[in-house]
Amino acid sequence: MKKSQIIGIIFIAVCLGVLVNALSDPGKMAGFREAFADPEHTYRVSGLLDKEHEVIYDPITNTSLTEFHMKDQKGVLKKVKLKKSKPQGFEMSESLVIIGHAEGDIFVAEEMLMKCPSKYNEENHIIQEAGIPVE
Amino acid sequence: MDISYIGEHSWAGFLGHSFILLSMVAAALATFSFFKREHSGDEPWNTLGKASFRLHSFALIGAISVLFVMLYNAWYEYDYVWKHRNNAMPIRYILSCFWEGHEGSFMLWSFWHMILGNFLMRKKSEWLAPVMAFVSVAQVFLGSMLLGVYIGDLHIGNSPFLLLRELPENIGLPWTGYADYLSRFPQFMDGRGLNPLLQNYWMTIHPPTVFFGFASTIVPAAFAVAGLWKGKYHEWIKPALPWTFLGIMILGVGILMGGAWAYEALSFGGFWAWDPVENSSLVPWIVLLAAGHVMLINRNKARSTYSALLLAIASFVFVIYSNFLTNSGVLGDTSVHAFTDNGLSGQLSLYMAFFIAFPLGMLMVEKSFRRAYWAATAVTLLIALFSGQRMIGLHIWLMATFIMSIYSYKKFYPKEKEEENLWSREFWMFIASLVLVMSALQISVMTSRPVINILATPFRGIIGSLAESFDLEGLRTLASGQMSDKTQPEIIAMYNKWQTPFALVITLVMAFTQFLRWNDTPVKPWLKQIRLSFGLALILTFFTCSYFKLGLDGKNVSMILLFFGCWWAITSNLDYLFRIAKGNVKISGSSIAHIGFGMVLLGAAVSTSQSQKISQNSSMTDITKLNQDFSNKQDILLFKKDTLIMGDQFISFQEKRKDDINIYFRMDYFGLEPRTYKVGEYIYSLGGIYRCKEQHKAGKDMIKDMQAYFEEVNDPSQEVVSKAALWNPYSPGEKMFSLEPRIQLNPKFGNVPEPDTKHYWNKDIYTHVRYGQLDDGSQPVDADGYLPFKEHKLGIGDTLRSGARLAILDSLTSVKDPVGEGLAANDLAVTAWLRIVSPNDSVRQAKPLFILREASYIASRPYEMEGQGVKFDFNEIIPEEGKVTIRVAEKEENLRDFIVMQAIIFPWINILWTGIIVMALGTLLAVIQRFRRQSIGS
Repeated sequence: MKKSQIIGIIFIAVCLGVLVNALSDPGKMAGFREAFADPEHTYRVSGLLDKEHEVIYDPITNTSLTEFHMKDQKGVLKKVKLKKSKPQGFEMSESLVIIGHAEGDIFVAEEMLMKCPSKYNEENHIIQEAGIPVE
Repeated sequence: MDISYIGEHSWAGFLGHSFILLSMVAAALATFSFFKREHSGDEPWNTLGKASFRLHSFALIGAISVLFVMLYNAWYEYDYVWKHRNNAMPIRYILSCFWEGHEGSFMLWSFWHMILGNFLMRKKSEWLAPVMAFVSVAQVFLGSMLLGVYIGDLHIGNSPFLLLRELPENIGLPWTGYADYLSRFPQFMDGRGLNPLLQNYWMTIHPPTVFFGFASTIVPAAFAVAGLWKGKYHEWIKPALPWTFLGIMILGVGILMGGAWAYEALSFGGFWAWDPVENSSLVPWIVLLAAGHVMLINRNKARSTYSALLLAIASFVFVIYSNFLTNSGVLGDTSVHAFTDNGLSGQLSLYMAFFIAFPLGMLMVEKSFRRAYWAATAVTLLIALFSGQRMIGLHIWLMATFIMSIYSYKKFYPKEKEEENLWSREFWMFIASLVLVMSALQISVMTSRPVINILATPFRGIIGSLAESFDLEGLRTLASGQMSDKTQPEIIAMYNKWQTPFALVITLVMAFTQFLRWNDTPVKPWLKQIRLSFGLALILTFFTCSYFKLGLDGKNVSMILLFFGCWWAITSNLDYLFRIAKGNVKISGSSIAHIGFGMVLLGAAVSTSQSQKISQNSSMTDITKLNQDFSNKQDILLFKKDTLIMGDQFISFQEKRKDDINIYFRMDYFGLEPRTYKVGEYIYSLGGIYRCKEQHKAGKDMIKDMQAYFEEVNDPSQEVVSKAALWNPYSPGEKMFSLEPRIQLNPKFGNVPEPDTKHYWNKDIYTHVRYGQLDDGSQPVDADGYLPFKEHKLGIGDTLRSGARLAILDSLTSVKDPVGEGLAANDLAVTAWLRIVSPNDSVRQAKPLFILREASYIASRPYEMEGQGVKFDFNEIIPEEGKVTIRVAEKEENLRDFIVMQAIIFPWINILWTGIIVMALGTLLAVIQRFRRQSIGS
C-alpha cells in the first residue's frame, strides 16, 4: 500500500470515530420510574424544578448539598439531593437534567445540568408593560 | 395623524441608515467594477472599483461614527442604545456597548474587511481586481445584515439605527401616541445597559481582535478564488501567505484574550471550557493554521494544490459558519453564553450557501462544471424555499456538492507522480496540517451536535430502524431527535480525549520537522541534529513529572507523553534558533512561533491537568458524622474572622463590603508556620483531651505526634477542657496577601460571582465565591441582640450545630447545691453539660440549667457564653425518648457572615500567557519578513 492510501484510511477512520463519538450518548436518559426501579445504576433524568416545594440549601450544615423536588417529563415528582452547592439562579431555571441514582425514596444526584432562560433575551416587554397608562 | 415627537434625535438614525445604504450601494458598485475589470481587462474599471470601495469605506466609517455618537450621548430613543447602554455605566466601556449586540459586531467585522480592503488596494498587481471583487461582495452581504428592512413578513437585516417606537413589536403601543414619551415615562430615561460581565477591560479589546482575525480569513479565501478565476493555481499563494499568517497571529491572540477574560471575569474555573463560542473561534483558527502550512508546502514544492485552495477557502467558510452558529439561536442552550435567534437565521443561511457554493464551484475548474453546480445550487435552493422541504433540499445539495467536488478533483487536478518522501519536510508538514484538520473537524462536529440533530430530521425513520436492528444507542437518540445533554465535566472530558492525541502528534511533528529539509533529508545527520533537543526534552519531562509527583501509570501516560511532546517542540525549536538560524531574524520567525505554540500547549496541558482544588473543608473534621450527606469535596466554608488552613496557607474571611454593584469578600492569606507545642498545652482529639509532655515542633503525622509527645488526661477538669484545642501542625504565620472575590449584583442578568486570583510566577491561586449572603433581610432580635431560639432534641452524646459552632451534649447532672447557684434551697435543677467546639479550635463548656420549683413551676436558666454571642437554653426533658430539648440563640452578627468558597491552584499557567506572546512575536517576525521580501521581489 502506498503512504497516501494509509494516510487516507487513517483520516477516514478518525472522521468516522469523531462522528460516532459525537452522536453517542454518555448515559441512559430515563424517567424517575426507571431510575427508582433500578437503584443500582446511574440514570439521567430530565424534568422541571417543582416550585411548590422549597429549595433547601444550608451551607452551614453542608456546603455541598442542595435539596429540591423535581417533576420528570411524565410528571412523577421526587425529592432530589444534589451533592453540589446551589448554582446561581437555580430558582429561575427552566429545566433540569440530573445525573445520579435512586436511594430509597430520594434521588441522589452527583451532577446537574441546568437550563436558564437566556440571559440575552431581549426585554422589550419591559417597556410595553411597565406602568404606562393606557387611555 | 403624524405626531411630531419631542426630544428625539431622529436625524442621527436617518444619517446612519443612509450611510449603511450608501456603503452597500458603493460596495455593490465596487464588486461590479472589479468584476468587469477582471473580465474585460479594461483598466478604467479598476479606477471606478477603487473609488467605489473608498466611498464604501467612507460611508461605513460614517455609519460607525453615528452609532458611536448615539451611544456616547445616550440617546435612549434608539433601540440599540437603550439595550446596550445605561446611565450608571462608566464611559470607558462605551466600546463594549458598541459590539455587545449582533448589529455592532457585524459592523465591526465589516469594518475590518474594509480596512484590509484598503491595504489590499494599495499594491498594484494583477490580483487587485479579483481579490477586491470578493472582498466587496462580502461587504455587500454584511451591509445587508444591517439594513433593517421589513417587506411584509420578510425581514432583511437588523438596523442599529431603529427607534424604539419603530420596532415592529412596539408599533401601535399606547405610549407611542405621546409626543413627549421620552420625558413622560421614566423607562426611556435610562437604558437596559451593558451586561456588567462585559464591563471588563478584556472586553474592550478581545472582540475587536477576534473580529480582526475573523475578517483576515477573507484574504486567503479571496486570493484562492482569484487564483481559480485566473487559472493560476500556484501563483496566488505568494501574495496571500503573509496575510494568512497575519490572520493566524491576530486570531490566535484574540482567542486567548477571550480565555483571559473568562479566567478573570467568569467563574467556570479556568481559561477554557470548550464552550461553543470559544470553539467557533478556535475552529477557523486551526483551519487557517492548516491552510497556511499547506500553502507553504505548495509555495515551496508545488504540491498539495487542491488542499491549499480548499483550506484557504474553508477557514473563511468556517468563520461564516461560526457566526451562523452563534447568531442563529441553533445552539440554544448548549452554551454558557446563551444565544438567541436574531431573526436572521434565514438570511445567514443564504449567505452561507453563497459563500460555500461560490468558491466550491470555482474549485471545479471547468466552466461547464462550475455552471452546472451553481445551477444545481440555485435550483435546490429555490425548491427548498418554495416547497417547504428545506431539509430534503439541503441534503440533495450537500450530496451534489460532495459528488461533484470529488469528481472534479479526480478529473482536473493532476495526480502527484511520485509519493512524497518520508524524510522530507513537506511530508510531515502535510501530516501536521491533516491532523490540524482532524482536530478542527472533531471540535466542529461536537459543537454542531444541534445542527446534526436538525439535519437528521428527514431520516429519523431510517435511523430509528437502523438503531433497532443494530442496537445502537447513539443512533436511537439521533432518531428521537433528542441528543441528551452533557454536563460540563463530560463535555470537557470528551474534547480532551480527542484533542490530547492530536496535540501530541502536532507537537512531535513541530519538534523534528524543523530539522528536515525539503525533498529529502539524510537520516543519520538528521538524527544527530535532533538528539540534543530530544534528550533535553526527556530530562525536562522527567522533572515535570517529579515536580507534580506523577507516576507512569495508565491514566497519566497520555498527559506525560503530551508534556514530552510540548517540551520537545520547545527545545528543538530553541535548538534550531540558536544553532542553525543563529538568531538571524530573517529565518527565526517560524521557530520562535513554534516555541510559543509549544509553550501555549504546555501551559494549557499542565495548568488544567495538574490543577488542584485546595478548598476542601477544613473547618471541622468530625462534622461528617453529623450528616451522611456531608461531603466537603470542593468548597470551603468560612465564617467571618475565622482562620482556617487551606492548602499551603491559612485563610481568613475578614470583611464584606459593597461597592456599587459588587459585593467584595476580603480574604486574607497567611503563611504556614510549624506549630510549637509547649509542655502543658492541651489538645482535643480522637474524642479525648491530651496534654503535651515535651516541647516540640508538631510533625505532619497526627497519630505519631500524639504518641510521642502527648499523654491522655483522664477525667479532665472544666478548665482543662476549655483550654484544649484541635491538633494542628501549623499556626498562621505572616500575612502574605489579600484576595477579594466578589459577587456582582446583576438584577437584569442574574447575580454572578467573579473570581479573584493571586498570581505567582509558577502558579495561580484562583478563588471564587460559591455562596455568600447578600441580603440584609433583617430578622427580629431581642434586647441583647439575640435572634430567636432554635430548638434541638438531643440525647447524651448527640451533637447539635449552630452557626460556626458544634455543641455536644456530654452529660446531665443534678445540681447539688442550688443555693450556690443562686436558686432557692428546695429547687431541683439539672445542668446540661455541653461541650462547645468552635472553628478556631477552642473547646469550651456551656451549662444551662433546667429548674423545677416546688415540683410544678418549670423554668430554665440559659447559659450565655461570654464574648461569643451565643446562648444555650435547656427547657425540656422528654423522659420517654430519653432526650432533652436544647435551644440555641445566636447574636445576629454570628450568623451573618460566612461564605462558601472554592479555590483552585493552576500551576504553570504563566507559560501559557508567555507562550501566546512569544508565538505572536514569532509570527509577526515571519509576516514582516514575507511582506518585505514581496516588496523587494516586485
